[in-house]
Amino acid sequence: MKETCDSFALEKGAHNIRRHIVKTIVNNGEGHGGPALSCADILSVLYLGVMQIDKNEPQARSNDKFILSAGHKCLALYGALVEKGIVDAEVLGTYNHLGSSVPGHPDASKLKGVEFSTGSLGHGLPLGCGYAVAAKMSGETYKTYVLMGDGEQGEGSNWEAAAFAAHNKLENLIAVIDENCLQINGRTDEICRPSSLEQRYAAFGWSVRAVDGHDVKALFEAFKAAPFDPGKPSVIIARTIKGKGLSFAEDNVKYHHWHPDEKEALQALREIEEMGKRWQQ
Amino acid sequence: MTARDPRKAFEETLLQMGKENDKIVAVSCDSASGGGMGSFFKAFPLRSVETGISEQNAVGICAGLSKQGFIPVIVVITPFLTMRAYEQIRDDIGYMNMNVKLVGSGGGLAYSTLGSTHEALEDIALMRTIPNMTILSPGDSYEVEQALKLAVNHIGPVYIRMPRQIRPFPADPEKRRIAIGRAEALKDGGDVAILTYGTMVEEAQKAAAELQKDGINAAVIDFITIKPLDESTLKEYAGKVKMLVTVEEHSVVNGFGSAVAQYIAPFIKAPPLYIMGVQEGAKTTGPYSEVLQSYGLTGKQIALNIRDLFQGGKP
Repeated sequence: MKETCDSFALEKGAHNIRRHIVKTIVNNGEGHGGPALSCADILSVLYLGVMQIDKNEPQARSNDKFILSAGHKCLALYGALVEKGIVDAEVLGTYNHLGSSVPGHPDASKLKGVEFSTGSLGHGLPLGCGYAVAAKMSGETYKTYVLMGDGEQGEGSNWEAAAFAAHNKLENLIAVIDENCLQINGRTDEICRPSSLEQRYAAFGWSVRAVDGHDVKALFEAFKAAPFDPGKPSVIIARTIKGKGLSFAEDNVKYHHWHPDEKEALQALREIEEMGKRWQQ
Repeated sequence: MTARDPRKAFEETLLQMGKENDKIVAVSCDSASGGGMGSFFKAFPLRSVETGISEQNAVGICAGLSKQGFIPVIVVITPFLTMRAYEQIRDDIGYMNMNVKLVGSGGGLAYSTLGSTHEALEDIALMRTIPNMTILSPGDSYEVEQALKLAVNHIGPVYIRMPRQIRPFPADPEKRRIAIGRAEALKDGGDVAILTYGTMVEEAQKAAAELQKDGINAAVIDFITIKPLDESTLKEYAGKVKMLVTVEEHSVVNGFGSAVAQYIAPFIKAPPLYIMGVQEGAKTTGPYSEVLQSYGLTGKQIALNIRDLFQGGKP
């Protein structure tokens, strides 16, 4: 992990990830735009500022691990892998094409840098526990990061893993929840949100921190501080806005899976290019 | 060597393999003692993982361990492993081709007194559709030892369907040549071939002895590997007997019999194939031997059934 936060580089990275997301969807007609845009800052901070990954050997066992439990946010992961220099940007042109290495959910057998094929929710935290236990068994120092969605917290398997991680003191496991407060059918607090995620994870024995999920410095500092307490797994609740970066899509459930029409596509490209000017000087 | 409790055989073999291979990790869902991992847990606490009663989590943990080079062996009562965590097995183990050994404790009707929730009559159907999965179904303590050794030394996911009851060896262990993908003819015969595995081998042998009294010469083939299917042995017997019969302690839907049917169906000259097992939806509880009898799966019943089919020429 870098010692100090290079906010300019991380914000630029997040913007580039958003540009990859928008262009890929516009060029290919559809994709999980809202969820990917909401976690772009988190992925920029992880891949460009926090995780120790040998980009020439992304599968090396000593690398830090990243599991995208919410696999539908994969366009953000693909963008991060491009920005990290693990994957060529050209591959995004094949998104959703027959046999593509960048399908609508990440496939570990097709794309380097993807640890596990994900898509069905609630798989990532158990997998992360496996990595974290393996590190303890072999005395390795890599850390394991698992990115989940907030709607995904409805899956019971997460809570099996949450209990296990706390009981086994997996302080090398860091979960991040992209809490954008929306899921397919509406707002999470209208669908099933019996208590806050902070309360729930704390009750399971985790150390919890909530941060602005679009503030790269806050994210960086939180990751740098993990584990927050010795002997406890850490979870960062990243408060985000679904569709972040596109004015018409922000906090709008309609853009979970986005099929842009021509007008929207042009507007999206215009907004992204406009925003990009900030990093062009 | 004498036949003994299969769980004891499993436990001792796992412990021995653990001494020889420091990559083996035992994973328990509150099932270490019941599943034959107690000795391993005691000898290798640092390579033992207790997840509590949480099969989905446990299978995910196995995948993560495997990705880092460990060889997890997880033992859980069969339905809770193969059904509760089915999607984790498919996505995180099968499609990912992880080197994980899934052991279903008590296959078939083994927990016959415990009710329908504990019976496993669909596990083969579920596991055989999973890509990359090898399926081994030992029936006695020697086959259990061999299956565990083969599974751990095989690179890739393996499902072992564990027997629970003590059964005699169907053949002298020293003369056996058990290998993944290889069926063994325990008795040759030219009229009928009884294709079976695991817990039904003993009953199939009894059936063959009964049939002999009626002048029907039945072969008994032990398919300890259900996947990959030993197609050459199947082809050999399809070419030399007048009738094929599969017998299994499993639903007749999508089990071993269906796998055999899938292979045999295109052969124009293949003999008729009859699939014997537990009819879909059939459910009863009680002592093991009595439950077997209620499903028509004792040697004598299998023999009567085969004799009627063979002499009648049709079901």
